[in-house]
Formats: sequence, C-alpha cells, structure tokens
Amino acid sequence: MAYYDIADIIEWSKISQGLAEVDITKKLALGGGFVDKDLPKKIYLERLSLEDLYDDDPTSEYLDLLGNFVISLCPPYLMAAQAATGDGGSVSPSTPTQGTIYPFMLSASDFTWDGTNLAYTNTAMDGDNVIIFVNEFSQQWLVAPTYFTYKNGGGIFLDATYFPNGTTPLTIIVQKLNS
Amino acid sequence: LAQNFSTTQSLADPESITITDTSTGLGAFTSRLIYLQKINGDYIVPNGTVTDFIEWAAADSSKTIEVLDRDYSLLVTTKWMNGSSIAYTKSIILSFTGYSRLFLLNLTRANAANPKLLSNQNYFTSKFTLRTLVSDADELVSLANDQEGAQLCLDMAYQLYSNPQKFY
Repeated sequence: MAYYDIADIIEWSKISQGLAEVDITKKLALGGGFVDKDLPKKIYLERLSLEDLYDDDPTSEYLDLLGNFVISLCPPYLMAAQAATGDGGSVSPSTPTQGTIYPFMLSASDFTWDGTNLAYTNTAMDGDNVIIFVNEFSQQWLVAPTYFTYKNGGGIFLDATYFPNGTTPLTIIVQKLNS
Repeated sequence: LAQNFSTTQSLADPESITITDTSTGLGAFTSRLIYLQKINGDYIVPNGTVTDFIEWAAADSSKTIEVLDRDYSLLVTTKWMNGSSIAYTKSIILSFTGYSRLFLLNLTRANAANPKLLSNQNYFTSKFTLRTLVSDADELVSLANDQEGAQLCLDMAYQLYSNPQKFY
C-alpha cells in the first residue's frame, strides 16, 4: 500500500518538479556532476498519469503502485516539498530513562528517618547489584553486625540500632556490581 | 435560463462518453438530439444508427453513448426538441483524449513495474510527446476553440499509441 495519500503525493510531486528544475539549472550553470536534465519532465509525466487515474477512479487498485512510483522520483526534493505544504514530519526527541550512575556517594543528610530506619530512597537502583563502602570500608570488611540493608527495591536502609535518628555522620560510596 | 451540458469519458471505457444535461430554467421540451461532428464534417454515431444524431430521452438527465473508436476533437451539439421544433441548442468543441490517456496510464504502470524504462530515451521522448499532444488538444479547444488544431494533435497522438512497438 502507499504510505501517503495520493492527493498528497500529487501535491508534493508538483513542488518537487519545480524544485528539481531550479536545482538542475543551478547545477548545470556550475557545470558540475551528473545531472538528469529530464527529471522534472519525468516527474511531470508520471504525475499526470497518476492524476488521470485518481480523477477517473479514486479507488483503483493501481493507485498505490503508481503513487509509490511517482514518489520514488521525487527525492531529494521530497522533504522540502513536504515542508512547503506543511506536511513535513517531525521527530520527537526520545527521553532516555536515566538509570543510576555508579559509583555515587552518600552522606547522612541523604538519609531520612522513616520512623523505623534511616532510608535512602532510590527506586532507580531497583534490580542493580551493589556493593556499599561505609566510610571507605566495604561492608564485608566490617565486623558483625551488618549495619546496612540493601533492598533490591526501594533503596538503602540503615539499621537504626546503630545509627539512631539519622544524626550519625558517615560517608557511603555505592558501587555497582556487574557480576 | 441557460441550456448547457457537460461530458465525461472514463479511462476504463474510453469508447463511451456520457453527456449530462446541466441546463437551468428550460421550458418544455420533448426530447433531445445529440450531434457529434468531426472536423471533416462527418458525424459519428453508434453502430446501427442511421441518422446523423443520437436520440436522448427528455426524461433522462444523462446519456451514455458508446461511439468512439479513437480520440477525436468533436463539435458536440445538443438540441432540445419540442415536438419537431428546436427549442434550444448548444454547441461545444471538446477533445476526447481517453484513448491516449489510457495508453499513457498503461505506460506508467509498466514504468512502475520496471523503473529503468524511464531511462530509455526513445521511450521517454515518445511518452512525453504523447502527453504533450494530449495537453495541446485539450488546450487548443478550451483556450482557442480550435477543433482543427486539436484534431491534428490527436491524429499525431493516434500514431504514438497505435504503434507502440515502433515508439516504445
């Protein structure tokens, strides 16, 4: 099937024909390169056949075939023609989902008291395996008990037994573990 | 008050033309007669018709006539008859280019299936010439009322679409 409406293709091919004429004239004046001098005539010729068929039978099974053929003659002028008729497409920039950038550093002020624990809430960490360095020591190097709970969903929680009320000064480095 | 008519010709059936009465405010009439006159003065009529004209019943708003064997520029005359008297008459010179345009359309279909055809200079030149002749025939009658010139263009066009092996 034709990707565009036949009426649009007819309009764009009319503009492309004129743009091609101007472009080719400039190129010939500069004496440069390969130029298909007949391109505007070809666009014109095939567009008229498309118009004939469209006028005669707007439901013809051949319209898509001819429409695709006519539009295939129009580049590199097609986008300019589309823009001229206000039909040019636009591309919305995608908004990437920003994951957590590791490593990052936390201090006591990044934690909030939830009534039970000190919690650093960051759902962007969900699913990541991390290793936590407290005051530049890996937790694995610290003697028991373990002060931290990393929940694979929600963020990092400090054991309130050892860090009551979020007042304890500390430095935490969080690194992603890619294994 | 204005007696008038329009014509259409389908690419699917270029042999036929349909004439539609577009008159406004006409008085009584009992039938219509259509005359299709070539530039040499001859009338063309469907097979089996023994008169110069084609009858068109008053009750019918349009009339389809299967009459063209090729493209013509014709002096089309419609007479609105009241009994045996002519109540109104209207003549228009028209170019009927359906055969040429159908041939061009078929060439374009062939192009679409084989785009390289357009790079064949002989093919392209002949096709462009045919399209130009069709356009000329249309414009000579619409802008200059020149049936003779239009018919000359259509005669040349006829050579281009009736001898495809020679030109394409």
